[in-house]
Amino acid sequence: MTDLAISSDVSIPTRVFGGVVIVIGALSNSSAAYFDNEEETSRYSAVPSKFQEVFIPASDHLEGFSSVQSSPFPETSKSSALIATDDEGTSVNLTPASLHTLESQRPIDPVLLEIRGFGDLVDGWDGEGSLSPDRDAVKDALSVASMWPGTLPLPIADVDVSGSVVLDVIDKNGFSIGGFEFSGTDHSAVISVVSGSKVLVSSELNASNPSEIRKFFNSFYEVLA
Amino acid sequence: MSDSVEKREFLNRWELNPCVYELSEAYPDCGCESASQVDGGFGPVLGHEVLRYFVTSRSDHDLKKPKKKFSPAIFKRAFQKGMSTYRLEHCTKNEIQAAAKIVFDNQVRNWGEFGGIYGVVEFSAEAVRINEESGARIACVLDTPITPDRMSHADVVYSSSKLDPKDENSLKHILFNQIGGMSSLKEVKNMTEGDLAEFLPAVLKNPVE
Repeated sequence: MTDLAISSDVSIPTRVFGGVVIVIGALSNSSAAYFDNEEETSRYSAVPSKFQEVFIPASDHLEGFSSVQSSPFPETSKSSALIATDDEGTSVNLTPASLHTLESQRPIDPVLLEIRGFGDLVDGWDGEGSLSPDRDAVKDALSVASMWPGTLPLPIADVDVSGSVVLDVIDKNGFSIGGFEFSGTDHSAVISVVSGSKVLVSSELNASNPSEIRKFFNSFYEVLA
Repeated sequence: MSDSVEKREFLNRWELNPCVYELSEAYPDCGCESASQVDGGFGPVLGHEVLRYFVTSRSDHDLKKPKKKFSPAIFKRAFQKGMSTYRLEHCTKNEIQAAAKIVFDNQVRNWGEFGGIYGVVEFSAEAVRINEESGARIACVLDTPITPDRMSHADVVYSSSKLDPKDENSLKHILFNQIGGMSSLKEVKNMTEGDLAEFLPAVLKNPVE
């Protein structure tokens, strides 16, 4: 078993947006870890070691991890790309399509994966006039979702026909208590907190500002209480 | 030309390039709800009428399962070009099937075996017209027949000419709650009426573990 060093692969351009995803773990058989098709994915699934996917917001930047690069939107790859290289120089492409075979470590992880998948949508994805999500909207939604308190109901991540990404909160009775909508412009987002037909909070926020985001998480607790 | 006929002519032009804000600028306060009946049509949508909206599926990446998503985001179209619904009181089985097929074909074109209709949402016109808390208007429900075989088509559109993004976001959640929230969704696989099973995503018709 060899420890992984993680680095970008020059063959797939990557960019770091609001955060990075790192994979912590060890690869017991790196030669099996290529996922261009289903067969190869299942080969990967046979690798016994566990990987933990961690999304780190820009506000908690990773000092000392300059070799880690990932992007929800690699410019020449349809899906997110995360390239890891073991100490024998073998490159491993850990894309979301591959990561879904891994055991999630946190309840929010499938939501993060889903949000990143919105980057694959193209104009017309929901019929005439539907727009693909803005890249920055996806990035902002990832930042907020990665901060999601474990004591709040998991958000429903969705994208609407205007290309905005939303994180909605549904209570245990199946009613909405509000949510975030990310347009992608200047990290601007709107948030609503409602109770039935009554608006309790309707505001704008800067999705890159963790303290603003936490303040609105507290608003949801007030409704749930 | 009567007022209601003028409104119908305006609606006919509007449907070629719909934008909800233009509609409410020309006829504030949901004036177009009283547009004249088209030949063979059913006239203004009454408050008690039940509207059906098709909820679609997709898969954004290869998760080997369709996306079964239902959230307040379904109302976004009501703030843009109009949210397409069908008036169940007037809709024949053939019309429902024809409408479902159009949605289904588009989904399959985009999403292959994951694409299709996995559910419907049904709600009364009055549930989206008025805010139950404040009594204020939220949306108009317009009689908007498309073709002779889709005469029971109706559009839900936002009722005002201007809207702040914050308010729009809040109204989506209120509309979602007023139609009954998550409980308003009927999954096609559980429906006994309407024969919509053929429009399920292929992977749901033949699930593979």
